[in-house]
Amino acid sequence: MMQTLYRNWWKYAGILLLSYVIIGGFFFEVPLLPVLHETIRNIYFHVGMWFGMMFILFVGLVYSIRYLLYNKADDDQKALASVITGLLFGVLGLFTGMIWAKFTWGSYWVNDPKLNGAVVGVLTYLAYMLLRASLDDGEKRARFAAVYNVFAFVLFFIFIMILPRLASASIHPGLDGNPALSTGDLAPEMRKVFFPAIAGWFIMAWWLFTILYRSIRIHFKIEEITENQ
Amino acid sequence: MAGEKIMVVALLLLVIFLGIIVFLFYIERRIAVSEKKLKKLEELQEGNELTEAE
Repeated sequence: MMQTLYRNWWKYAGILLLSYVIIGGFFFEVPLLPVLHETIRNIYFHVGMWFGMMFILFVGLVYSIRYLLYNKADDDQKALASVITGLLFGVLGLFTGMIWAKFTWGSYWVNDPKLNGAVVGVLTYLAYMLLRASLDDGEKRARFAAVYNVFAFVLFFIFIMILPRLASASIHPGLDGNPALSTGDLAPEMRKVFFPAIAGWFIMAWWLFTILYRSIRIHFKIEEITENQ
Repeated sequence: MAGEKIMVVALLLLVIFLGIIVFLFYIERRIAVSEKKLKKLEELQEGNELTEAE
């Protein structure tokens, strides 16, 4: 019992943090700004999920580079798990963003460089999954996927960070600096929920990544055993 | 009225979130069982390979 508690402490911390974020996010004071009104509370979910996605995609990048350096199947499986987790967080981030857009901009989707860049970035990672599915040879698949993952990470940041800034016509916040992290971006009373939200979503992303990695490892091992027989 | 609605939405989200957490713990348990079975299978296979070599 104590061992389980000790082993899983970070999961419980994540659960507590996100439960606090849900309660605090809905009930704590927020500044009532024109256009945004109460929808500003979505920042704890939309931005948090998006940060969680960036974190786990970075983890995937690290494992892909590790695979290319050391050629260990484990690293490839971890990269795959992180991309799946990142995709899930990316889709959730887009979904929460669409809801937010509907209530502030009047439409679920507007033709905006930042929004279009985000969806193209997510599609870049969907292509990673397609690439994996199209190759039968295990080692070739892992190597190609690792190279593509490095490429996808760079492309993703070009799509969501660089291109919208070059276009400089986005209505999405955060064209100068990082949204919600720059000094005047977030009201002080919102920080007590926003920062726990970031930590909570990071932990949740990591937890999902470990679950996916373990199940992927089982899948590959069963494949290996049946191939050997 | 608006306050009640927010309360209901927040509670609903909390219940969904906790439901997902319970599901994740359940999946983890299932994975742990599968990992144990796989380890036994691998040990068995290693044993078979050794006897075949002998």
